[in-house]
Amino acid sequence: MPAIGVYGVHKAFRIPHERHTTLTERILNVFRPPRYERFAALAGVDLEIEHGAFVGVIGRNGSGKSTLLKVIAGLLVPDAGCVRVEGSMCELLELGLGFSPELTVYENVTLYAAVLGYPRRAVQARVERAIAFAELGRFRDAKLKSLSTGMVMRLGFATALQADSDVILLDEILAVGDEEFQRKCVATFVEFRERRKTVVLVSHDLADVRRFCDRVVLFDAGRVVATGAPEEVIPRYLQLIGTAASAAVE
Amino acid sequence: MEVTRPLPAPELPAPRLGAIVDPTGVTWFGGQTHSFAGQAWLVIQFALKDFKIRYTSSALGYTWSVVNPLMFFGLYYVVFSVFMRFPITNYVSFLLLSVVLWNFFAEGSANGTAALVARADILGKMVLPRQVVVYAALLSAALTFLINLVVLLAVLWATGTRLGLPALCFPLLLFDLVALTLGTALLLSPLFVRFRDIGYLWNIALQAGFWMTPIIYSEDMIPPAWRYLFWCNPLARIVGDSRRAVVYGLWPGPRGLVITTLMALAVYAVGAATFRRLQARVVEHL
Repeated sequence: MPAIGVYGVHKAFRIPHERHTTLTERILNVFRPPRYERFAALAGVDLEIEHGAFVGVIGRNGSGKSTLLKVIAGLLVPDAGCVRVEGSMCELLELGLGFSPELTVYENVTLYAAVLGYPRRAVQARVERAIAFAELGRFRDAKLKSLSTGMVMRLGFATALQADSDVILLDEILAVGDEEFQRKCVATFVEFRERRKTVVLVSHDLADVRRFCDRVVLFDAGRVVATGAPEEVIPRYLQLIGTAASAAVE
Repeated sequence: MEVTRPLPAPELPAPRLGAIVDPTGVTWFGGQTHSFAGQAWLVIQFALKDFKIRYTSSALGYTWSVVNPLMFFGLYYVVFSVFMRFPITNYVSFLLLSVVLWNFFAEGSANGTAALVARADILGKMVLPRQVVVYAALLSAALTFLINLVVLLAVLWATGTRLGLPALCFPLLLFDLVALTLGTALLLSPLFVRFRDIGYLWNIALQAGFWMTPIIYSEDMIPPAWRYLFWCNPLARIVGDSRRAVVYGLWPGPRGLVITTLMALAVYAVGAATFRRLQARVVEHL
């Protein structure tokens, strides 16, 4: 059984022209026909990702990459079709979610660990390892607001990596911080690949995709256009951008 | 290059715990999310951190959670006991107990209602069982409530009120209070995401509820023709029976207790069912 299975998934968003958020507005507008556009973010996506695969998802802006990630994560409910994920999952769509500047480094990591659903055993040890990985042991009891932005990013990333999930979803996040810390992140991902964890990376950075991914999925207009090895699919993508660019020129 | 073709849909196993069954009938599986212990841990973490953040940058800190109800208690006491001279025995304990119970309901339901919106940043980007944030808001209010109960016990002792055997009913009444508050919060929080008016409406309802519920006055002061209003208000029943059991040392009627409990459980059931139905798509409206 694949690590991630996406079967016939459709997802459309309704983009209202005027948003009615209050009850009064709703009542006032009840006789007016609702005016909205349907935007099909995912128009029938079938995809299976094997255990231990490092998959890159590429495509133009608005082609449905992030929506796919959210559907796999379970944040969005598909309009049709189904998604299966085997094993534990960690989705990194944004770093340091739920971090509070008023809490200390240690308290923030414990909270984030609970959000990420660290396995109950060894929570404590992992929290310490995350702080050590972020190289913030010195600031363990300092409030987060006294840390630099880069340090906060490092902390968020380190905490997420320690979740040690079977399936990891990354949205444009592969490495943060300075050169040295980025190298550390990269080393971790190499290790993940060796430990046969499944990683899905949505990225515009083709160099990263070339470097890490053993399979690339190309998205366009809510559909999978091509999947295969990076050296086969990336040229297709460049071609796609090229046609779009030349069409824009004309 | 592989050709992209539709994959045959796999046979789906029976939904396991944690799988979200959408009302449209599409069953869909996320990866293994939080276990029950993980959820409990998350509720505790959210509540503790929330409680801490709330009082962290104030000079008096946690004292504020006691000062606020005490101040209102003092105000009501002056107005209704010194100025208006309500003929109620042991009015100090009577009033303080009622105000503390009411405050938990008001704070818990208001915070619980706003909880989903308050945590929109996390809920929109991370998968967690969404009811966790509502439970955490309640637990945070419960921490304030516990501190207030300690003050209440001290006041009871200082005014010479001794707890008798009937006070054993109090835990059941507290359970009812929690079920009622939780049910209200679970019902209103997903609706609040869609209609922000709910927040204003609930504030008005709370203000009206404070005066319509016998909190500063006793239920005996209501003319008999209006008593039914008191009997069908679960909060009034909880407050009335608590006063009887804790302040006056009288046993509340067992039938009344059963009805109160059933009412509170019904509110919880309605709230939980509504929440379960609306939670899957709540993220799209945050």
